[in-house]
Amino acid sequence: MRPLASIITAGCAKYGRRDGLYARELLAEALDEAFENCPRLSRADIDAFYLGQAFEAFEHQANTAPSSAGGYGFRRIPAIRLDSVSSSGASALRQAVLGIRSGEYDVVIAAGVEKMTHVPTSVALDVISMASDRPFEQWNGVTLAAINAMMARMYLRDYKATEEHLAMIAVKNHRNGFYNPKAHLRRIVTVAEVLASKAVATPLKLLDCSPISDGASCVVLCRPELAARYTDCPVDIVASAEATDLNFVFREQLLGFEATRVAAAMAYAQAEASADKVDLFEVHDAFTINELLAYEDLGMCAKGSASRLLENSETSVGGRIPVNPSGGLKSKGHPVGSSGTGQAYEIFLQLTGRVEPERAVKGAHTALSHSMGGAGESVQVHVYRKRG
Amino acid sequence: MESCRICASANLEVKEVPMTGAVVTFSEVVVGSSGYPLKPPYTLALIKLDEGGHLIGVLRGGGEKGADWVGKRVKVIFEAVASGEKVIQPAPWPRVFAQMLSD
Repeated sequence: MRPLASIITAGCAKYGRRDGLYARELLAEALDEAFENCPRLSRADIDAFYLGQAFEAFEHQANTAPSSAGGYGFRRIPAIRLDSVSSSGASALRQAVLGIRSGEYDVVIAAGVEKMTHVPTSVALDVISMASDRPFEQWNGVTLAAINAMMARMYLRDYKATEEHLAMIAVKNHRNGFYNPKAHLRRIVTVAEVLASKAVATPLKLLDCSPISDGASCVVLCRPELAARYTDCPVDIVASAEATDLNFVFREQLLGFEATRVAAAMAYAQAEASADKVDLFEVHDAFTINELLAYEDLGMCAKGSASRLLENSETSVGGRIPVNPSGGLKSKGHPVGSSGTGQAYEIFLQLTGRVEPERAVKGAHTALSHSMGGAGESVQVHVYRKRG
Repeated sequence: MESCRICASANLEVKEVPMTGAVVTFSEVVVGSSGYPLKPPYTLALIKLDEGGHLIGVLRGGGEKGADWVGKRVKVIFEAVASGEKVIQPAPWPRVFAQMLSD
């Protein structure tokens, strides 16, 4: 199978509270890492720049792609910003793949960024709530946590799962993030601590929620046949799929994410693979319930049986199908626009054997990233393969 | 008649409905956003209307904390925005609340 595009290098700024920095400075930090790790790549090689960034409100700044690109020395090239909220980075990645696939470009950058921590939490939550429908959701007191909490309540009621199972996801991802030097929350937590953490939107608690983070990340893609020019160990992207849905309140089917199911089916068809052929997953876990639902929507287990994967530690590093070895959005952090490209960065490191041994998925050959915007209004699924 | 601008359904008819329904799921919001005038905690409920479709609104008349509201009957109330509240919107839009009906 011919790959769609190849990742030749990647970079990621440290996620967390990054006081005093602007988004463009975080981006530069991620780009520096990508270029330092790929000495054969020069800035003049870059044909186009795709930037995932969700919110203009945090820096009162629109029009960020040209200045971010130009400010890093990519002059006069096409530079465009993509917004699909929490999956903006994955949207940038997909458009970058399509740019390569079209034959228009040889080498492109997909990047993502968000600077969020400099505003009070209640203001950040108001900005983030823009992901929801204005008249029918935000306007009536909806927060993203509340939508996911309502979904969690439905799941826990309908299936054999408890708040402990949700807590197990937090525990697993915090354990992975503890070993990730780029992670925002590098702290081991226990099920008891998660359950005892303060309520955010019942039944979700503080430790069920990803943090508000600053961060940036990027991957550099090229036409598959050019990859050897830049690196000896590229990672091929073999599937890129995207699907959308109506806002949560307008859906007939309230539980689970149809956009994930549709995008995953397309991605598996492109990659000529199924969930059991994937060695590691990076999935959207802005809230623990998201990861639980992703197990089912991505075909890792039957509907209603996700909790069993957790009970058997199957999705832990060292388990049968590790999920979120990076720590996920939950522990690595969720600088909204960066989360999608952050997943691709993690997968690039994993498949080229560059991660810390405590969270390395040994022998991984095929990986999948699943990024979700809002409450499942936009979903991107990519499949990656180590070359050789 | 044109199609629905939200779900694109061509099966569209304007009619008055009683605006009653039942709680499908709910959440007590403890950490709220600065953009919503009601200070948390408040209970947000997703209502399935008897005539079909869903709405989300803050539950009123609930009372005790920690109760299970799933399946409870409610009447949906639309309320105009209080004068003086600064909002950005292209047209005035009411807020949705769900008033508990007695069993």
